[in-house]
Parts: sequence; structure tokens; C-alpha cells
Amino acid sequence: MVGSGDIQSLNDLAGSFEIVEGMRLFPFGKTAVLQTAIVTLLPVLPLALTMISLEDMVKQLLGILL
Amino acid sequence: MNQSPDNKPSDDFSLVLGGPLYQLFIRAQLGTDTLGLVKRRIMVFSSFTWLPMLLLSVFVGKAAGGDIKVPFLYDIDVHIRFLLALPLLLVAELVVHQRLRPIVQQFVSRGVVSPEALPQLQVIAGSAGRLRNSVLIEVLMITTVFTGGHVLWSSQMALESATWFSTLVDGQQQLSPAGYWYAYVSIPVFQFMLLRWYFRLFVWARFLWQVSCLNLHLVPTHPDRAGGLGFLAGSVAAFVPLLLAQGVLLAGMIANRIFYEGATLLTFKPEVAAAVVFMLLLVLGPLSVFALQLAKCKRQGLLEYGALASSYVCGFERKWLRNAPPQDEPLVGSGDIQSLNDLAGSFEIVDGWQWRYSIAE
Repeated sequence: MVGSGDIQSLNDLAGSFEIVEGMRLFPFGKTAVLQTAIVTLLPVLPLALTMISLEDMVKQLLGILL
Repeated sequence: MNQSPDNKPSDDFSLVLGGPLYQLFIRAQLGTDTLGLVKRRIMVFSSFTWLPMLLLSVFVGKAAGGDIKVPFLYDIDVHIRFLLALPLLLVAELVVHQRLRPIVQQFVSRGVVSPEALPQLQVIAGSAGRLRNSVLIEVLMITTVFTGGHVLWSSQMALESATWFSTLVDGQQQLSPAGYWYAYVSIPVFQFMLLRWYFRLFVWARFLWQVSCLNLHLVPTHPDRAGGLGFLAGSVAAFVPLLLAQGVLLAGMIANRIFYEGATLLTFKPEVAAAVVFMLLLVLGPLSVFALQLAKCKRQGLLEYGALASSYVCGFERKWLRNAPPQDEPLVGSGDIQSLNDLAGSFEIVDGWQWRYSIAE
């Protein structure tokens, strides 16, 4: 097995082992959870304008970004 | 679901191509066998549900004013429900049909379902198709929307103020002509379409559950970190129009309460949170049926790859450190150590052990 073309280095083997250790128990990751939550919440977002004016919201956003 | 013996079972899989309403669409030339003519269906459904309410409200003077708190044109919920959410439910059919089939095909093309298990997959896909086409289920759904659905709507969903569809007379709720159309035609049509979607998601969950019971070929070292099932996450994108439909429905309901009953957005935090959890369960819940198989694959993988790693490092150590290095194979350029980076990696592993032992001592 040493020198085998299939397992070219100990490092590669360690990488494979790390992949197995990091294997998820669900076929989806955090991205799919976030995507689902964001898409559901997106239509509710404009209702935030009933609590804060668009002008104030833009000012606060600019304050955070700049 | 008719299949020729040569077809892969997943080739004909569709969550939406079937059922009495689907057949009705085709016969009424509101759809094709691949769910074409979606714009025509949207026009017909919106005209059938929303337009009569507008005309009847105009007829009795409750469209834009009158002695009521919420005229028809000011009712945000009703416009969102029938001009946005209902079309999104119809668009979702086409999107799910087009996007889910390639995802299901991956079970076969990636070798997750072995050729030996193909007949079983064919049985499972056939069973999903028969359930989807069930006349009885659609009749039950129609019965449900005219009984439980109507009670639910009149007790919880309707505004309590005097509106274009209902006013309180001697403590009794009295429907206007437009209100009768709303309560007995438009709302049942919408609830039926929504219920039909929940039923399809049930068919999807049942299909995946049955597939998860097959002897699947999962690979613990697959780079998708899901044993080779990572492609299933793509199904979320297929359900985006359905998620949006639910989102706009929630937004419409909240908007009415904010504008006409003085509520604030923050008072709906529990409802919004519940809606998000519900949608997560609807869309990602069916995929979770593979958790047991993935856990088993991971346990097995850790044991097998652990044994393989032990075997390799023992051979490596014996060859280069314990015994005299082979004379005919110089270390530089050796096939065992193909790159300096790999060797550095090996030393890092050993270094890590030494560090752990020194802490332990």
C-alpha cells in the first residue's frame, strides 16, 4: 500500500479522514436553512416601513455601511 | 405514471403532473401535459377569484368607499392573496416540475441507488404517482375547505371591523354579495390550491422516506460532505415560489392588521417565527429522512478510514524510520513522498501527537 497511486500521501489520507469526520447528518447545510428562512421572510420585510420611515432606514443603513 | 421497461423510474418522476385538477386543466385547454400555459391559468384563476369580488363591490358601492372601515380596494390581504400568492402557487407547479425531476434522476446517475435496487425505486416512484393522482384525496380536500377551512377562515382570518365583505348586524356577521363570493368561492379555491401543495409535499416526503429505506450506496468521503446526497439541497430552489407564496400571504394578513386594527409589526413576532419554522419543516423536513442512513455511513466511514489510516502510517513508519530505507529507492523523488507539502503534513500530524503527549505528561 505504501507508495500506492491510490493513496499518495499521509496528508491526503488525513484530508480524507477529516472529510468523514466533517460529514453532515443531513443532506443540506446552513445555506439551505438560511435560504428558506430568508425567502419566507422577504415579503414581510417591507412592513418594517410601518415602524420606521424609509428615509430613517436609509440613513441608518448608510451610517452602518459608511 | 406510465413507464416503459427501458425507462429509468426517476425519468418520469413528477410531483405535479397528475390528479383530477391537472386533467381538468388539460381538457379545458388551461394547461399542457408539461404544465405549459401557466399565464393563461393565472389569468383564469385571478379572474375567477378576484374579479367577481371587485365587480360585486363596485355594484353595491363598497369598492373604494361607503360606510365601512375597509373598502375592497383597500383590503391588502385580498389583493395579495388572489393576485400574488395564488399566481405564485401556479408558477410553483411549473418550477417544481422542471427542477425536481433532474434532482431525483441524480439518485440513479450518481449511483446512490444501485442498478440492483432500480426495480424497487420504480415501485416507489409508481406508488408516489398513484398517490399524487388520487381522486379521493382531492375530493377530501374539497370537502375539507368547505367545512374546516371555512370555519377556520371565518373565526381567525377575517377582519373584525366592518368591511366590504362583512358587516355586523345585531351582533351577527352578515356577508355582502361580494362577501358570499369571497367566502364560498374565492377562499375555498385558494385553500384547495394550498392544501393540494401540502399534499404534494407529503407525497415528496413519503417518496424520499421510501428511498431512504433502500440499500443506498453512500460514500463517506464524498466532497459534498453528505455522503453523495448533497444534490438534494437543490430542491430548496425548486420550492422558492411556494415559499414566497406563503411569505406574501403572511405579509398580507399582517398588513391588514397593522393598517386597520392598529397592530404593530412587532406584535406578530410569534406568527412570523412560527411561519419560518413551518416552512423549514415543509421544505427541509422531507430531506431529513436520510439522517439515519448518513449517521450510519459516517460511523462506518470513521471506522474504515481510521483502520486504513492506521495501516498506512504503520507501513510508512516501518519502511522509512524503523527499518533501513530501501537502497534502490532514494527518499528524494520517492513515490511515497511526492511533495514537500505532503511530508510537512505528515510531520504536522506527528507534531500534534507529541504536543498532546507533552500536555498529558
